[in-house]
Amino acid sequence: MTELRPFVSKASLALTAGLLVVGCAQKPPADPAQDATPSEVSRTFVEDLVLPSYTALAEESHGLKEALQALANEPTEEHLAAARQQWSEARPLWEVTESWAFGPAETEGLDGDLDDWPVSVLELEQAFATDPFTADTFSQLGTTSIGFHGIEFVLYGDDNAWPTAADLTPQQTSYLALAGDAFHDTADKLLNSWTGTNGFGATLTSNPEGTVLEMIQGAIGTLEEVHLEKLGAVLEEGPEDLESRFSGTTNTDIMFNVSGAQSVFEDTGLKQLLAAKDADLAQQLSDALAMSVSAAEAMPSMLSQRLDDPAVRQSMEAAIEATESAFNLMTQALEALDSF
Amino acid sequence: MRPVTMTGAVRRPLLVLASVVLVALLVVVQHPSLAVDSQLAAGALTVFNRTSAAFEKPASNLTPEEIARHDVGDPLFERSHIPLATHQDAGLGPLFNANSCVACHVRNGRGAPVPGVSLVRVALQEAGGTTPVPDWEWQVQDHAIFGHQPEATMDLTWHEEPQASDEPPLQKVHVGLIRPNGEAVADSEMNRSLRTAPPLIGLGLLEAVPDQAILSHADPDDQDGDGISGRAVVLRDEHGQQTLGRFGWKAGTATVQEQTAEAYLNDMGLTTAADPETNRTAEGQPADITQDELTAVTFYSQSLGAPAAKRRGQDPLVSKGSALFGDLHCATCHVPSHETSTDPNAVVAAIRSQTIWPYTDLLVHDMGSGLDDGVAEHGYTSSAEWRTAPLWGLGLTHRVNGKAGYLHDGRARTVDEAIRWHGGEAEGAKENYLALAPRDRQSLLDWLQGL
Repeated sequence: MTELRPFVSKASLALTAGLLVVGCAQKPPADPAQDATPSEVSRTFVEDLVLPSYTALAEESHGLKEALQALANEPTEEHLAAARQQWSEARPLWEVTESWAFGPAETEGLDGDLDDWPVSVLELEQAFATDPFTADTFSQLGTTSIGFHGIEFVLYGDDNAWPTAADLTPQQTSYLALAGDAFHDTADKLLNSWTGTNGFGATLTSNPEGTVLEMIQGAIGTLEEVHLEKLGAVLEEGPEDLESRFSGTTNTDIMFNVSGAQSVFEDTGLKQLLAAKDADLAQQLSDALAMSVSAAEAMPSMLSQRLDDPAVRQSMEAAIEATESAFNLMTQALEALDSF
Repeated sequence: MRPVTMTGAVRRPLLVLASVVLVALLVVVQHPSLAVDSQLAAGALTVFNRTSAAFEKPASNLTPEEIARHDVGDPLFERSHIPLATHQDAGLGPLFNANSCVACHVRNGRGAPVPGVSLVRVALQEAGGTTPVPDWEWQVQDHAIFGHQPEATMDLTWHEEPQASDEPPLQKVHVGLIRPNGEAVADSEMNRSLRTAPPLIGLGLLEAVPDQAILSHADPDDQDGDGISGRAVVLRDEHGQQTLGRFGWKAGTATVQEQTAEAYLNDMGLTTAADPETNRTAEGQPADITQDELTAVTFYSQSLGAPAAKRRGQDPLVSKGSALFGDLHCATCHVPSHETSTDPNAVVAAIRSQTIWPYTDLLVHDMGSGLDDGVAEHGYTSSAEWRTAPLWGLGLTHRVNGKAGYLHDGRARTVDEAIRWHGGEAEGAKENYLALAPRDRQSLLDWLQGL
């Protein structure tokens, strides 16, 4: 079976099992080393990487929805801990897909519904001041008040002051239940948009050469965003822009972003396709992606509280350097495989 | 094979030679096809990328400083805006259409004709659509921050219209407007026009086409009697000086910065500074978008390139397609190429003196009753007049955004449909197209898909 790299490198995470089961259910892919044609690479990408990832996200989002509903029904510490656990398990399953967010995630606005940032704190505070908080109240919220980060804001609170279950108001728990429903619906839409003969996956496999370039471009986009925005801008401008800072898991986001880019290259036969044109570049890129994952893994959690620590800044700078290097090499890979 | 551009073999001698004239001669001598190869859509700024990210790429040949400036504007263009508590109505809204530039300019390409990523322009039916709607002015803001109500939401109904002869049906949209109380706005109450986001590529280059070059194609009174007039939209800038409208579906704005500021205000409910020194609005409030941010996002747009066409200029398909394009008189308005100005103050150094291939005259034309949307916002144009849409990057439309449509409201599902919607001054060109042998029609469409 194709290994999804982040789940190998973080095998201890509870979420691993869920995705690997999904992966096992797929037809075993051809050995990429033996069969690296654009057709096989694009098929492997869609069937063995993208679809399992979105299936896993949809399944995990169901778990999140149920956990948030349970918390709304009975706001106990146990249910709050379970909801946080579900959130933290769903989050990497989305972040790893960043490199294939092109297509429906972007063109149908699903990315915005799931993962808009920053959070509209003012809007949420105003909504929580209404009583009762109903489905109609929820429908008036914009994308910056829902999705991963809206839910994260309520579950974890601002300023790293994690609330207790007793701190949560009825409005907030009602919100969480509704946000969980909406989240699950969107994750299902995302999976469906890629699935079937009219799905985006079929569009990609019908154009293998173009899809190979899209795969590389998707990884380029991720590596660029990580080194320039998610880390680079934060080092310059401070913690306000650190995504997932409420839960303190920016580092995990980035690790899975980079791991997704690595999976595009290593687990689809793309590496072999590139090696046939330029073996040195393929190896350099492989090494650079491995270094990027290692550098991301070395960053600590709770970055927003630790930006003044020289060692932490150094770990971020190392991740920036590694991902920038991988970005440059991935850009060269695109040029090597492009027909211009 | 990638054509030689000024990045490689040619650029190095440029650094050695001091004389611009000598350099130009050298380029022509060494690469006589450079100046005329239509594959280099944006001249030296052409982007060699035809993936779904092609429109997001910075122009080629930016200096390191320009790339750094571009990278500053990029995340600002993508930034999701939120309402803020710093003063009344600070931040997003309270009424708006979208919370970020990219929400509608998805991947910098054409937007989809669906609620949430497109908008509706309106006008009263009297006086040819030149009268704004009381309270709403020219645009319906269909979203609101929490605690506010949108002016109306849109309810789009698509229907197909059978065509004469054997041509496939064309589709059209009815734009319903629903007030917050659930009542529909009567059709007789106002005209409405769905508008999708146009692609952002090559804006700095279009801005650098000299006024005189645009005016040279204008023939407002059709003195040459070819049935095609072409009118420059003349606007007044903040100093009262005449400027030419170049941007927007009806060429209603003259500069990229003006277009950007208007989009912030009308589409996102975000104010920009009336006084750049103080960063305050005309009302004295802190501007939601600082002058630095406006400048950065403007520069980001100006420094985007345009993708290389799929084929070299010498390719037989290009020769045939472009010849048909001329023969049918499409090229009379979709003027294939322009020379950018030599202005030493060009916003990007490489923008100067480029041969570019945008396929537009940047003039407005009466496109006939089929495309008359009944809205002549600000009275700069009649309701049937539209700016000739640039065609560079046309073939990447659906790769960038599979949900995008062509023409102002995205009604055309294909380029063929877009052509068949042409009328008015373009009626003759359309008839010529309809009369083409199927093989020639396909050649033309294949060539257009390679842009």
